[in-house]
Order: sequence, then structure tokens, then C-alpha cells
Amino acid sequence: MTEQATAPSTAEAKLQDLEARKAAARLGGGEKRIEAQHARGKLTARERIDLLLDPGTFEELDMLVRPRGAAGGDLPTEAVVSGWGKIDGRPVYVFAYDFTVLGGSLSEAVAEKILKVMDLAMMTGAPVIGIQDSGGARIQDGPESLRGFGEIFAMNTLASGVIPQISVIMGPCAGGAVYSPAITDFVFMTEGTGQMYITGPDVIRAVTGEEVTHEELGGAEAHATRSGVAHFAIAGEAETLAEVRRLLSFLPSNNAEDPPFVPTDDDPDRTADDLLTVVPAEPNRPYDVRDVILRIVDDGDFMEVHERWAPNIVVGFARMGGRTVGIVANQPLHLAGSLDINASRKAARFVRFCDCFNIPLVTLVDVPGYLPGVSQEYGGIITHGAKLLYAYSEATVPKVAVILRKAYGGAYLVMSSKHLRGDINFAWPTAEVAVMGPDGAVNIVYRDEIAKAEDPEARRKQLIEEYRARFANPYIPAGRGFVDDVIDPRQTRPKIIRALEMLQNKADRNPPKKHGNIPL
Amino acid sequence: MAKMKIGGRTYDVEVRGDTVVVDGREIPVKVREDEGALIVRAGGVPYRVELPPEEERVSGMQISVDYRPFTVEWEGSLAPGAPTVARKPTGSTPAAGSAKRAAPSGAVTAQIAGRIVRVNVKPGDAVKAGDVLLILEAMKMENEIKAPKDGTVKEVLVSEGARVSEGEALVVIE
Repeated sequence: MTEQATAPSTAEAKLQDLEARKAAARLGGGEKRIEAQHARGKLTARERIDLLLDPGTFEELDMLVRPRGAAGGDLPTEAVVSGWGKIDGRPVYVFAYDFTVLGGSLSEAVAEKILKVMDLAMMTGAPVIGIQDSGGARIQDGPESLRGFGEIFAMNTLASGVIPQISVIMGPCAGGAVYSPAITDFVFMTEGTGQMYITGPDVIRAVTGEEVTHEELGGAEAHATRSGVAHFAIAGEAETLAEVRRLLSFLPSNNAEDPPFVPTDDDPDRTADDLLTVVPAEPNRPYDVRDVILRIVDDGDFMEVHERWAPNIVVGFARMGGRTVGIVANQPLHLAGSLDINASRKAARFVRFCDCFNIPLVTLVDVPGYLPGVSQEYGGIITHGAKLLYAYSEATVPKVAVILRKAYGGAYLVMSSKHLRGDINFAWPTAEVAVMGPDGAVNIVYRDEIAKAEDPEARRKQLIEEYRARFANPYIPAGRGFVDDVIDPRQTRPKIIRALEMLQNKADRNPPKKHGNIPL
Repeated sequence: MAKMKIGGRTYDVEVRGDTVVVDGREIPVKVREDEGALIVRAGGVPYRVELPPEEERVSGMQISVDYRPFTVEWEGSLAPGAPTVARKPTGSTPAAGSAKRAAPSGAVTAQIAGRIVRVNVKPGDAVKAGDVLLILEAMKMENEIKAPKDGTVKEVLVSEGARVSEGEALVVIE
């Protein structure tokens, strides 16, 4: 749209002029490009914002900001839509790249718009949701767009731990652009259209000769199962945005608030009789730990994070007695529930998020140990495993754990043990807490005795049984106070809720420091 | 002597027993197996190498070194007297080795090293996604290995009692 040669004179004409300018801005890159966006199975930035926010609450900022560089021509608006609105009645800020305007490319003005809402979000203590659908930096704008990315990364970093930051990938997000979502707390990807990578298929083909499609390389599936970059991969844009709303329902608006209390009809004293049978008595039988989680949380409502990456540990949000909890649970269904590099990284980041935002941690323990293997050692399991230890030790939110079955060695320590400043630790009567499992322990402790025995195999079996009877129960740790109480599994929900109530006013502090040095 | 192309560069390579000569430089090499991969010590430095199954080890194959994928092409013979390896027909570069393991397509692989304690299927059996194909004992747990998709069992590659490595193909489903 070109500037009009003569300014309108009457008030009515001025209003008409304003409406014309806004109508043009609302069309973004124009009807043809909107059609093309729809043809790709994608909604426009404004349609997405309308689906995300409570109806009629969106207040747009900087709609009339126009491209400055030559690439913009006479476009009436820039390549991002930004402003504030409400989700479940609580204020949030949002920015959504508009792919119809110059491919959603980031210019100096786009960066300024994003920085403006982030600044407001930090000052007022409300979450920011960024919807990504962008070709990357606007090349014609040169270093100005680079500076824009840099300043957004720095702002993401400053906001980290102050307000929840959520990224929603609904189109391309490539090169340096990926690092803004990477710094944020949660990454949602829409299956089929959301794509993230540092270097695209063309560059990879040129440099290494590998053939790979955009989707294989950086689609939702790849990042939700292989890289762990995406916390949620969801089919459909409307469904993705609904899940963003659901996630926010568990979170406080900022780090000074407690999470919202959601009244429930689910009795805090409800017992669950089938918890006696969900976990098999035989220590070598697998089960799905989510069957335990669903029986103890309010209304069986559990929002799992990173469902398909590092499935040997389960993390996610639920409520107990109406209050949000972060749940961390070993998953015997995968890799026997052992801890490996990815499981440690996944759980550590989740624990730290919960600690940032005053969300108590409930840990369900059934872990045979760290996963042995050369690839794990070369991959740095020492450093990565230490992340989870560090995260639990550092966390000052209420920490309640229940040992369901196995808790061996270093893995016992890491899973919210009392020794890492855990507050209340329960054990089921089926719990086994020891330095290692019976077989391994007997082979080491009684090596000579077994070797000298007339029938070494029979002696070994006998010693394992003796060891199991003596150590494979929760009463030695309970006798030391490492376990606060051994509980009836059916009582797990009321016991956890009462402990959380007791801990509600917990005030714990770490020593003053600039920041710790977590083994990254 | 062979001309070998990796990552855009070409090297002269010759294998002489435990020594590999690369561009005239002699490098002592030791190889052992570990969890479905090879641990190759070259000049004292260990690398974790994954190769495709034997029948796919031809020029143009994808390998992984310390989890990074590489395409390896060569002409000529690697060892003196060894037969020249046939060139793979062009136009069939394997798609994106990236993180994929070198197992036949449709293969269900072991996610963890352990021992097979039960085999529930035989070739020709129809299976549904989620059916338990085998029980793999590892970390003192009887891990259920399930069918990832509906199909027919084409091949069972392990028997009860077998020790398997991480990434090893167990059952092929079509």
C-alpha cells in the first residue's frame, strides 16, 4: 500500500483510512499467499492466535509496523503478528511468524516486535508463546536480521526461569532460528508441517553426500523420537494449540507464583486397590509405570512430556489434591527402566523446570541401575548422569518419592533419595534398596566361598536366596531412616497428598552464588 | 591398493594384516565387537563403527563412526590379492543412514544387550502390532520385544538362550 498523496480531512475519512490500513495489514502478504498457506495445510498467523487464545481476547501490537528494507516493497505489515491475550482467563503474550509476508523472514523490525512482547511479558510476569513458521533471517537485511536473532536469544535466556516460554513449530524453523525454541522451556511440533534443523538437506548432500528429506531430517517424528528436541509432536494445528493451552493450565504465570489450584471431585483420601496387582511381585517382570501414575493423580489426568524420547523414564504434569505436581518415574517397560544418557538428560531438564516454577516433584522409583555399555561410557554417561543428580540436589521445591520395587546403587541415590535433599521418601513393602541386585552382590562378596564349594552353582543359588531375604526389602533403609515410612501401596495417593500438604510452606535455600555449574 | 572416498576426500588405502596404509602412512588397527558395533582402535584411538549387514558392504555403503554417518565409496581392492569389490549400481544410495542402524528393513532389533529367554514366533506367523515376539532378559528384567507393526514373520534370527548385542536384528517382519 502506498502513502496517500493527500491526508484525509474529516474525522470520518480518517477513520476510513485507519480501517483501510488495518484491513490491509490483517491480510498480511495478501489473499493469494493466504490461499497458498492454506493449500499447504497450514493456518495463517492470526488464525493460529485466534485458536490459541480465549475468544476475543487478542490485543495486537505493532500491526502497522512495515518492512524497512528493499525486500519489503510496499507491504502494509511485517512478517510477525504479536500482542497479548488470555488463556483460561490468565494473561499471556504471543508472537506468530506470518509466512505469507516474505516467507515469515526475520528482519530488524520483526525482531523488535518480538523483543517488545517479551519485554512486556517479563515485566508483567506472564508466559510467552512463540509460533514458528519462518524461512529464517531476511537475507536482504544483512547483519540487522542477524542482530535481531542474537537479541532474541539473549532475551530468551534472561526470561528462562522467570516466565514459562513455549515454542510451537508449525512450519520451517531452520539455521540459527532454531536456537530460540531450543532455549525455551517446551517445544511443540505439528506433524507433517513443523520442521527444525541447523543445516538443511541440500547443504548436507553437498557436504557429506547423504540423501535425506526435510521430514526425515527435521520433522516432528525425528525430533520427538530421536533427538529429543521436541517435547510434544501432535497431528493437526488446532490439536497442537489445544495441547499448549492444556500445558499452561498446569503452570504458574511466573516464578514468583504458585501453580493454579484446580478443585477436583477426586477424593484426596481415595485408595486404589488394584495398585497391589499393577506392579508384579516378581522383580523380573515388566509393567507400565503409567498405570501407577494414572491411579494416584487427580482424575487420571496426566500430561506426559517427551512421551516417545527416552521412554525408559516417564516425566510429566498432573495434579494431586488440586495442586500441580511434576512426576518423574522409571519405566520398567523400556530398557528395564535403567537410566541412560537420554533418560538422565530428559529427567534433569524436567526437574529443573519444576524447580524454577515452584512445582513439587513426585518421584516413583523402580530402577535397576545405570545402563551398562561401551557406547554409554563413550557417550559420556558420567557427565550426563550427573545432570540428574545435580538437578535433584539443587531443587528446593517439595520432593516426595515412593520406591515401588528396585532401587539399586547410584540409581537409588539419584532418584530423589533423602541423601540428595529429598523431603519424604516412602517405600512399598515390595521395595528392594541395596548397593546392587542379589545376583551381582553374591558373585562379588562370596566369590571365594562359591569357588570352593562342592557344588558351586547350588551354593550360589543358596547365597542369593539368603541375600535376597536379608537385603531385598525396605526394612534396612527404613531402620536407618533413609525411608520415612513403608506404606500400603493402596494408600499411595493419600500418603503423597498429605506429605505435599505438610511441605506446602517449605522454605529451603541454596547458598548465595552467581549460578551453579551443572555438568552440561 | 584401493582408492577410497569418504566425506568428499579420496585416500589411497591398503590393508596389510593388522596395519592399514593410508596415503603411505602405516596405521596399526585392532578391531573387536561390542554391542552390535565394532570398536576399532586405529593408532591407539578407539572409534565406534557400525557397518551394514555383510551382503550390503559394497561401495556406496553407509557406515557410522562415533554415531556420525559417512558414505564410503571405493575402487580397486583393499587387500593384496583380495577380489575387487563390485561397484554398487548407481541410483540406489541407501536413504539417510543418519541414526538408523544397519539392520535389514523390517527387522526388530534389540534395544539392550541381553539373553533371549523365549521365542514366541516362527517364520510365516501373522503378527499384529504390539504382539510379544520374544522375551529378552537384560538388567534382570524379562523385557518384552513387541511387533512394531502388523505383518508376517519372514525370519527369526535368534534362538532361545542366544546372547544378543544392542542393535542386533532379532526378527524380520514383512
